[in-house]
Amino acid sequence: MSNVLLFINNMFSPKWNLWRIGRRATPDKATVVAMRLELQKAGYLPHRSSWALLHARTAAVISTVLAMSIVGATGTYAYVSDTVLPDQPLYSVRQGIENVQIALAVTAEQKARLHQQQILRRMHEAALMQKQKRVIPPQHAQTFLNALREVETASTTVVMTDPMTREERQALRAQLRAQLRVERAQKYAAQLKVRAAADASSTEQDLNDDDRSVNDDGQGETAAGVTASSTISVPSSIVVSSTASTYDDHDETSAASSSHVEARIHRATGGTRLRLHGSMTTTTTGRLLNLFDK
Amino acid sequence: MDKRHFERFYNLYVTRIYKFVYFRVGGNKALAQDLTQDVFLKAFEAFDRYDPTVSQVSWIYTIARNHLVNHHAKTRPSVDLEDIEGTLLASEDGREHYARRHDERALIEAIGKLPEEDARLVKMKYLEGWSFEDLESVLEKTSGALRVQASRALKKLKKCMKDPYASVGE
Repeated sequence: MSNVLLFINNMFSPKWNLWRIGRRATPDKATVVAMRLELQKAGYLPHRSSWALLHARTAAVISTVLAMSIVGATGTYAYVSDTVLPDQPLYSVRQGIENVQIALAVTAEQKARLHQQQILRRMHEAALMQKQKRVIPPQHAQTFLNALREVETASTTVVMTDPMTREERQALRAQLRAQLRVERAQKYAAQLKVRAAADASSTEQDLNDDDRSVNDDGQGETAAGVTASSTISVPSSIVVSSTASTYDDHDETSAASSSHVEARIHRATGGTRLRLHGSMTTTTTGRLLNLFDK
Repeated sequence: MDKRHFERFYNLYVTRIYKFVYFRVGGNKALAQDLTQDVFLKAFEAFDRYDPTVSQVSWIYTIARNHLVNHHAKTRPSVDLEDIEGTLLASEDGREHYARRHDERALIEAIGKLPEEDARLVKMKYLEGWSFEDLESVLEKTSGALRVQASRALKKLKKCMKDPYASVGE
């Protein structure tokens, strides 16, 4: 062992010792600063405070960490906050993060799950915009519509592992029915305002229709048909498969509400629970319920 | 060259010039500090006349070496450039502050036994921290040739340290 150490020592000693002597000869920071201050006094170098000279590296590290923290915090805020909507500059940050997420997803299942989340987020954003009576600016409308089209044209499949219990299915069915009732009531209430009194009786009859019947005509829905107040817990066992829709790029309300999102519930398997805050379109809610009850 | 660029030039070379001077004044830190300042004062005054096509390393090295020659000429009755180049062990007060350990002292002595060019290369490369690219213009050789020369010089050093009486000349 000692021979090995001696061999290593002999092999590296000249270079190592030279390096060690050279390092010892390196001027310390105080010496460098002192030399520089002398030249500064004589006017040969621009003025820098001794604090800046001594702590320049520390200041650079702190400012870098600070800048990274600000960027991280901004990204997090843009991604999670409900106040970041398509008419705001930070929305592009959110889209960027989502694109990176999808790009980083390895398996088809991960990509599908992310697409599913994106669909739900777009719908949620549309609902929030309408709830707050905000108009999407043209420059953001196109971006928003593109994002919506992109995620909706992607066919997604999510493989589930966690089965849904009977109680949970019943609760979900009840929630969906309640929501559909509210949405349809709101829709017809809005129609009542503009229709003649003679049409009121036919509207009343429609309201008494079977809750399971679904209005498949999504093209004509208005803002009243989109808003809802309840929160629905949607298990991720719902496989959201989207079909390409024909959008009117200049009518974001129509585009948001006409999303033909079809959902199928896999009874045999369940999975991670997705909570959809806000609302879904009447068409979507009806389709969910209809498919769920099949 | 514009004097506004002098600060960058100073920051780039101050440490290496300090070490260059340090090893030629016997490891006297205060003296090395004073002489380094003098070197850069001269460099600043001549900075307007500096030709950017000439290597900066070669230019500042020449100023530092000439300044050291002048310094030793003042402190000694007569001085030769060869003496300055070989003053690694000779300090003004007779002590070597930088060779604390026995093996380090042996190493410094071994460097003194190397051929002049090898010793100069080893000192500048491994003690003072110049890169091979920097030394291209100073020693007027390609970096590849310098690498080969440095490798051979290190082997000679090992040999010399093993056997102090071995011949390592050309």
